[in-house]
Amino acid sequence: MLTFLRRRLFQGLISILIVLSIAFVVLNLSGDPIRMMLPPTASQEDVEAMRKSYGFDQPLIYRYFTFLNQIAHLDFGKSVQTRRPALSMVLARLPATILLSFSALFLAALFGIPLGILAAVKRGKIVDTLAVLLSMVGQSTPVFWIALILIYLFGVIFPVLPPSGYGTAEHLILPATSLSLFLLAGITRVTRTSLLEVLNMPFITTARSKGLKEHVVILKHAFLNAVIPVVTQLALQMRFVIGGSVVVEAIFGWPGLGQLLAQAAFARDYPVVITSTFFISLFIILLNIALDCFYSAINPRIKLWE
Amino acid sequence: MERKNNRYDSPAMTQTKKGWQQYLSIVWRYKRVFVAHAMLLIVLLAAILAPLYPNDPFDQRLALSLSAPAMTQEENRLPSFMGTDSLGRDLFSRLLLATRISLMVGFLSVFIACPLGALLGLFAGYQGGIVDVIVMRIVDALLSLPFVVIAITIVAAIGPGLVKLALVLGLTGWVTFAKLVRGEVLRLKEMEYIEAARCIGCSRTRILFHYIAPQVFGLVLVTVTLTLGQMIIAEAILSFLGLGIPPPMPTLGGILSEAQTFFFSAWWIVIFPGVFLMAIVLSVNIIGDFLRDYFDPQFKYEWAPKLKENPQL
Repeated sequence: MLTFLRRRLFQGLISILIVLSIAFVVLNLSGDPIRMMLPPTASQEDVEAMRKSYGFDQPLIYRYFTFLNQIAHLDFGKSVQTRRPALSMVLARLPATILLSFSALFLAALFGIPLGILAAVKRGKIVDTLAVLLSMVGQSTPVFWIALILIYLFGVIFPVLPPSGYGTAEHLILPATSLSLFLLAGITRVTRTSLLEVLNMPFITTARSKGLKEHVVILKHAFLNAVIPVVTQLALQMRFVIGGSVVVEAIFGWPGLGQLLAQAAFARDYPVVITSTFFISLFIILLNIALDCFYSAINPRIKLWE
Repeated sequence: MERKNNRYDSPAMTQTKKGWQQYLSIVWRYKRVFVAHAMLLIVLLAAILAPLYPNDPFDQRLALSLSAPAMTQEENRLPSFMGTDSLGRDLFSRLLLATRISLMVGFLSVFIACPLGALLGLFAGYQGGIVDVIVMRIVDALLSLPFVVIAITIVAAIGPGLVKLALVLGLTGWVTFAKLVRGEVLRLKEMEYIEAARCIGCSRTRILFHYIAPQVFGLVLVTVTLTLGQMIIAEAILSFLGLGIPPPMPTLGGILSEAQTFFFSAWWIVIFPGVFLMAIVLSVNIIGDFLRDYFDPQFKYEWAPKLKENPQL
């Protein structure tokens, strides 16, 4: 198991390295980063001083390795806007993002899986049609529009929930719901398709002819064998959830990593952008490893570490 | 590309030749797919003909700012039946132009992503070795991260703008094509007809473009369709965050971003842009799902029963 974890972590770190390298190259090829950070009226001396203080007077390849070295030591530099260390700014935002994305994940699984099962069992009935329709619409609706509609419905027309903010459980409901809808659509669809496939297998007929109750057949025999694609779907869609959280956090004023990333990108605060990207990648990679471990927990036949 | 079937063609190749007429007759039978095609056609026409609409999308009439949808007749212009925005600009004409821009960014980025990804996937899959390792490492790295986050990171460096945005989306979106095409090529290159081609001395280029490329065409077309939807949503998200195409150019994301301020007074600015966006992406996604089944070799002539079983149609 340790070998497996070590290998996956190593692959994940290579992914992060590649992304950071791309970001570094783009930043340095797209013009003078110092000129971007300073107002156009800055004097030549100021530009030179800033260039020295950020180390931009060094050759590119030297800077690249300095950059990697700093990140390897978790030294992400200071924010250009606030002059505070980028690392502490990002770490302060981490809990809110984790809370939001896990709530969305939980909501999607809580409603998506039963809906998918129901649709598969009541195949061709009205419930099924509705579920398929919901999954199509849910996967095609941009997350920020859902967020706006939800604010409009529950914050303006029926003012029962706070439209933005952070702190209480009530503040979590709207952002988590809007973020989970895309995932919910995907999970419903995959649960349904995967369960339908399993329900056609001979062992289900056997289970039924043994006289087992229908709910035992569906939930115990069929569903447990159909759950792997659902977990895969969760893992695959996780990056869309994190991507969506950038915009959802911006709308709901949720003080998470995504909001910080959007603000920093808008202000061209490059140290903060790099740091946020680094932690978002790390979060997703760790989550995927956890889901991989979950595979072998639910299906003993899958042995990842042998 | 009409040519005679020769016996070196793979069986699947001859079976997937069904022609437009058969395609349309299949589309006609499934009302959801048909509606999606019709909707996409309308959207495309609207995008192409947008400049002909009489109301100027940039014409500010502050006296009429935030007026609700109404059929009031005026001289030289059509009524603002979808209302106006905060600067009194006609919402419908802005949405038409925004649709045009969305589709332009979408198509442009897919036209960058598709050839790049498909070619890299073809070579990486067929060649193997170090090329394959390098390409797939980059693909896996980019695929493990949120598309939007990568795009934001790059946009932060190079700044906003239509062409830049299409470039960023295209240069981050090619990975899906590369991954899927490579997987398909790995399967195809072991097949007997490729081996036969190699035996009679076909060059690598000929095998790749004459025998393998036509086989992955369906897969690529499906991916083009589904990626188009993703690109349009990504463009909307970036414009919504103020990182896409800067105002006064109308974009669906940008209009929605302005709408946030007028929640309490103007529902129409919140509802209509989203409906436009959803109509585009939904029709593109339904068509993509349909194409996936259509290009499935097992689909061929027994398509009717298969479609009935297929949950998505």
